[in-house]
Amino acid sequence: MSRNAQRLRARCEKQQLSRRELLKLGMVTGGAALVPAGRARADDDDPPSPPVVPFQQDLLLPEVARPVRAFTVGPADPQCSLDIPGFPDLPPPHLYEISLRTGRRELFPGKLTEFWGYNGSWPGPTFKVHRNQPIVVRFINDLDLDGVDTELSIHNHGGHTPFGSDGFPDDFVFGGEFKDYCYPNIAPDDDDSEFTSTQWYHDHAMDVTARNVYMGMSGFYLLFDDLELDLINSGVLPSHLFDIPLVFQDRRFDQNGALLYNPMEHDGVLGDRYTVNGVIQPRFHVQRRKYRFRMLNGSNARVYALRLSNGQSVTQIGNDSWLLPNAVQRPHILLSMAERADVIIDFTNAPDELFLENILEQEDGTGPDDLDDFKIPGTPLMKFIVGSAPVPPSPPSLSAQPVAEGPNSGSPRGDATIEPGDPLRPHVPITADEIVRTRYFVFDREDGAWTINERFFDPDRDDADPELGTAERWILENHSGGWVHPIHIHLEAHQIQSLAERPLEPQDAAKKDTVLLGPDEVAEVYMKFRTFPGRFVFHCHNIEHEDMRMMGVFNVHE
Amino acid sequence: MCTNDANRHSAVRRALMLGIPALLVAGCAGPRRHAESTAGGFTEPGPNGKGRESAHTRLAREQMRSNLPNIRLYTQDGDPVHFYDDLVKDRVVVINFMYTQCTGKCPPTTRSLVKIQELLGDRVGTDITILSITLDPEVDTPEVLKSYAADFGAGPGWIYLTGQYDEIDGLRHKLGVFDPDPILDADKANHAGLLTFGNERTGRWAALPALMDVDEIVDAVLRITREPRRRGKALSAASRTRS
Repeated sequence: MSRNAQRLRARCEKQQLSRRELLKLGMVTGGAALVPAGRARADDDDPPSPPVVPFQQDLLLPEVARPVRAFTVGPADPQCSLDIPGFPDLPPPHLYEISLRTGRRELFPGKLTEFWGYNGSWPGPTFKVHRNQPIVVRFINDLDLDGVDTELSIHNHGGHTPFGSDGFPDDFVFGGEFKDYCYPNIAPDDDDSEFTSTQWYHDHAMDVTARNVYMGMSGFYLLFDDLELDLINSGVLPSHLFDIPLVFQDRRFDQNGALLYNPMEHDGVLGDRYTVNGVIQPRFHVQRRKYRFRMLNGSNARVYALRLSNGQSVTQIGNDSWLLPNAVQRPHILLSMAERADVIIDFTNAPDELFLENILEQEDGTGPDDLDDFKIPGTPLMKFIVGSAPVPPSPPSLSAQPVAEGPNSGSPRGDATIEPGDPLRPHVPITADEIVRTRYFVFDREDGAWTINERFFDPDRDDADPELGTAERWILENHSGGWVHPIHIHLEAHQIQSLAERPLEPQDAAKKDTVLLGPDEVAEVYMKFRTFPGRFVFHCHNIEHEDMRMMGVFNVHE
Repeated sequence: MCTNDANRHSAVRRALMLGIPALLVAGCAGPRRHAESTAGGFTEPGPNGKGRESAHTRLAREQMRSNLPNIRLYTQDGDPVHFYDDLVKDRVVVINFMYTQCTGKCPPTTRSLVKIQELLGDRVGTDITILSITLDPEVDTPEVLKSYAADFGAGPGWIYLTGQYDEIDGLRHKLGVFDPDPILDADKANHAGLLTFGNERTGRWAALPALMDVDEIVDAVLRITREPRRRGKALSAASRTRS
């Protein structure tokens, strides 16, 4: 009998009670009948993180990555090629070097927390790059914990990246090694509608991704093209000091302030402290104006619903990597692991203090009890102190900026003009008549690990073989009763056609690179395979599930 | 394309079995070793002095030591042992749960482990220990386990273990081999398909389903449990290979 059949039978026998209801019932009845010996969850016994007074530390903004003139070590990597089909005239690449090494920060008074960061920074340096300006990033694995290292593979999430630079899971960079990653920063078919805005880079090394990311390996990769720069320079979108990346990551710490990661928590590791950009519940001084926040759920296993504490709505301008066709007014933002929301908050009439809060409760790695069951007030993730920000200096001179973002001079106040409904990046839909094939992928649990179509990930096996230049329809089904699986598909955007369990909202109907499969969810997505052949992965972005082999390979062939 | 090279994994495995650092064979043409002291920006001193265990490694070991119960178990020869102190501490281990009456997943899992034992060769019994712990200790006495082990061809370095049910069940939970759904968790057969492996000295652990491709499992075990690098030695070897 399959596990699902077992589960269904069990459900029927238990009068359709949910897992949680059973657990609660088990607790009510003393645990004898339903709760097994031992602990129900591995994290039950984990000691709480040390106490900390929230909103005492300022939000940290990662430095912007700067190119180098030449690499300091070794010859260039011949595998890293910027000979991109259809783009014969790309300029020579800009070169960057990023080394993975330890860094430290005082998150708890008197205690130094050590992390593994890109250039010793958590989050890593923010890349700001321009369309059709290729870059080569030399990622150097300098992590040396007295001989103990970790293997790396760096994935630029949301990027249209050639095979060989996409961070294939077993394309390891061991301690003391480096690898060059080629990022062409093109749009597939040179199509404006496909150009990305908010990518992020993070570790993707097979079996150890969860710990690597937990220890600090994530950063932003922001892209600009003429369309977006026009929106900025004409004063529609905030920029520079008013364009703020925020990564939300829950973490647990020991009594000395050290990051605690339990490699035996296979369901998905949760923390009991909320960090934003690597600081626990920071404060951020803002002016009475509009800000752009690139919000990223960089957590291993926690889903967030984000809301402003005063009930004020926000304006969403981007979803995952892409600007939306039109800005959308949102009362709150549901953000599962790896998803991004590009959001405008208008502080003009806000109270002097307000909070960005998480209104979704989640007790373990299986996922939230109910993706629509919000708790208000929620847990504050960060505090905005409004009107207290000093007048910012003039924008840095353009020569000092890797990207020629102009000043915000489009409106009399210098504020951005963006309003819900405003047009942003057009979406050219993939249509049904382009679809040449439908594939079904069922995500399930087996043997305490995770399967796609009843198979565990094998990096040497192709699970799909789409043809370059064609479009396909993929049906992604969560069959693993009660678990939440955000599915990330590399290389191409996917266009969500339908969801079985949730209404399809406007912001989800354009382009996504990660689709949340809640319990019993079935997502129908369209994808078009363009520009790059080769082997790429798709996987659950609960990273513990990913490490436990909930991943597949699609081999785009010519 | 390096990931299409089906022989690569076995090359890694063979190299590791011979004690050659994986990085010499695993990197394809991609990753390259760079000089020990790199240019500006990379010279931030590590958190620890030379020769001392790193804070992360120490922390990872301490966490595992405090997390895993040091319960009393008995080997298939009837020898009493303590789980952590005698079987895990300072070792590379591959751990699974089984029971001899299990007719579902246990026989294929055990056959998979036999293959893994063969692929690991002499390292099982020298620096790698396989621990098979029964979930049915009332039935699985040392004698029963000894007979089961002999039937399947368990060699030296593969230890079958029994003990107190409650203690073993607690250990199972601490090793993360459980289902949060209590109904599924109550079915012992659901816990017989996972291999947990790690190197206690480095604090690096992972777990994989036993019914995966065995070559993949062996690659992962060797990679995850690899010993700390002796940097100077590895570097000189690497530079010779790369040049």
